Amino acid sequence: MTKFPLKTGNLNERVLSVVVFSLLFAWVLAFPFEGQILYALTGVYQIEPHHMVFGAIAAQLGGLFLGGFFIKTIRAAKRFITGAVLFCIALSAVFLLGPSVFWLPALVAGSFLSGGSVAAWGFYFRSGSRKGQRIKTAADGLAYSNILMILLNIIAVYISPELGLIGAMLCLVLALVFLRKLPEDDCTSASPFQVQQGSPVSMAKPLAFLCLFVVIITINSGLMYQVQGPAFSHLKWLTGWYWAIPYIAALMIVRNLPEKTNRSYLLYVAIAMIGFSFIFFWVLDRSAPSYLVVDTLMLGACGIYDLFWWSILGEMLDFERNAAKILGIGLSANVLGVLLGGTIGNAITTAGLSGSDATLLALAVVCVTLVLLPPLHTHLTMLLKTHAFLTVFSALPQQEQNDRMQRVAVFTVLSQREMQVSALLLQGKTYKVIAGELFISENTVKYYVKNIYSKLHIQSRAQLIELVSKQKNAIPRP
Amino acid sequence: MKTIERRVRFWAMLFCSALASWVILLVSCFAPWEQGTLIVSLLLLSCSFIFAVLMWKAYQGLKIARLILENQLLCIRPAVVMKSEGDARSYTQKGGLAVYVSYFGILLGSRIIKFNQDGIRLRAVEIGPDSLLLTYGDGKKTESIRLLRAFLNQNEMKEITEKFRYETGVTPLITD
Repeated sequence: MTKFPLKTGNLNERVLSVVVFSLLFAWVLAFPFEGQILYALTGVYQIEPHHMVFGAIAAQLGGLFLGGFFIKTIRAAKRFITGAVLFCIALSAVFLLGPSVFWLPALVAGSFLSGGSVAAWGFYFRSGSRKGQRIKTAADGLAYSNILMILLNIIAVYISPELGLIGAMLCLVLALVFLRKLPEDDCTSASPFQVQQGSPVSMAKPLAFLCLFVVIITINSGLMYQVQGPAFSHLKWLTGWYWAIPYIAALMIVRNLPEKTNRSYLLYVAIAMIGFSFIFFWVLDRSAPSYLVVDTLMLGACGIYDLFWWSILGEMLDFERNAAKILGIGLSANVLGVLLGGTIGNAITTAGLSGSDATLLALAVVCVTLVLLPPLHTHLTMLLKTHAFLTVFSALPQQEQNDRMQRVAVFTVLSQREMQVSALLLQGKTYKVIAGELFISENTVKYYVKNIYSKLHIQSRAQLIELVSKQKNAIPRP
Repeated sequence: MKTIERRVRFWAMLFCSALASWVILLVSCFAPWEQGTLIVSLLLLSCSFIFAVLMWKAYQGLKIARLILENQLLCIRPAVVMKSEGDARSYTQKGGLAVYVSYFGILLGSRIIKFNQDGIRLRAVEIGPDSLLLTYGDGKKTESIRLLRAFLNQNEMKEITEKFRYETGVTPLITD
């Protein structure tokens, strides 16, 4: 079923895709997505940036979310990214001509197109890296784009905003150059996998749950931008470049952990870091050392979380034909969280609350999100484990499925009919489908399932899967 | 089966009547209510609630009955009692009770014996020359029921044995 042309994957395509992504994303981070170049330009001309920033983030959200609905093949992805990059170069040039009514629409259009491009890049994210290695690809892309962003920010803040913008446009030009070398044909792309086709197992539920998880966490990021960021605005000499350093460091640390490390524990470390970040923000002054403490904790946590869901999205790409859809929808949740957090933060600051009141309120929001996270994470892990199991099991030949089920000791209490129903449950089929296959009514299936769960002392399909997974050799590793 | 359906309809009718009466009382008597009206209202509501519970229970029974009928392992047809009146050649069937045995239980007319539900398991099956003995129970209590039926030949016996084994996991014991 699957072929692996090279044990290490196709290095060239991987490197190229990382380079293209880094260059494109650097432009996004440095310019439209609350970038320092945008703030510097609007600062020079004394323009209020908030409505532009909000519009750009919303457009980015739209582009990410909708990208996958229009871009369905790797060829379309390449063409879209090429067109979008050219357009973004032209739109950026508008900002070199001085303030005009075209600034806002140009920013919104550029953000939308760049969002769609990031979603489209999902095809290269999948084809360029083999499963299990995508966390490294994601870490590399995010790290390099942030490094480039820092350089562009330094230029924009310390030298000239226009020069920073030209630097960002140059990144886009380079992205175009490297993009030409990426394959555009599904057959010729070095995809080591054959994507599950016609799989009965849907990605919708795990993806929806992951999105919920991401939105809830990234609300904290949005809050940080609106509450913590302005408090240290007097330290521009530091905030202009240090801001993303802890983020990059966290990415590199997590990227280089041994493969067998259980990265899930890091999520709880990151939760604690976010909490402490806001606590220190509340109790410390607004000096440079305080900024270092607060920013290191917050951005370090952001790095851990960003890599967490990027890598999950990366693994999910193999279960869905349209990689742009999975990556786009997943990342749009990230942007939505930032938007929501920013809105809450903006509401807090414009309500005219005192500094400590605003911080306390922000901390309360953080606490609520942190309380929701452990059960969400548990459920997400269960969903993903269930999904991974269902997909692997359903791909096995029928005889092998039966053999593996026979090996599971607990199933000896089930009758043959009940085993039949269990096997179909383990294939991820719905009650309706099971009823159709066994020529019985859906109601009958429900009663069979209830009885099976009762005999096995479990309560759900997920627990049935866990029961089978616990049996050694019951299921092959993906 | 028809009895069970009639039972459901009966309780449903009573429930709807009680509820409708209460609604009419609500609409026709304006606030503040007198004590008598209040008592009648409470009575009607209580009756509605009781009838709703009984209706729900009857409906659950109907669901199980349908389940048993849809998934029959064995159907024991009643002996047909025909009566002719005088010289008339027409006969009318009198009496008789079809019994349906399923993975989910036994349906005897309007009586339902559940197993493989709610913790009750089918424990043993014995097939005799003229009867079928089913033993069922939860861990604490065990009950048996013997169903008389017509003589079965070897092939029919084999078929029933295999059906029980496949569906319920219980291999019937064949006795002389």
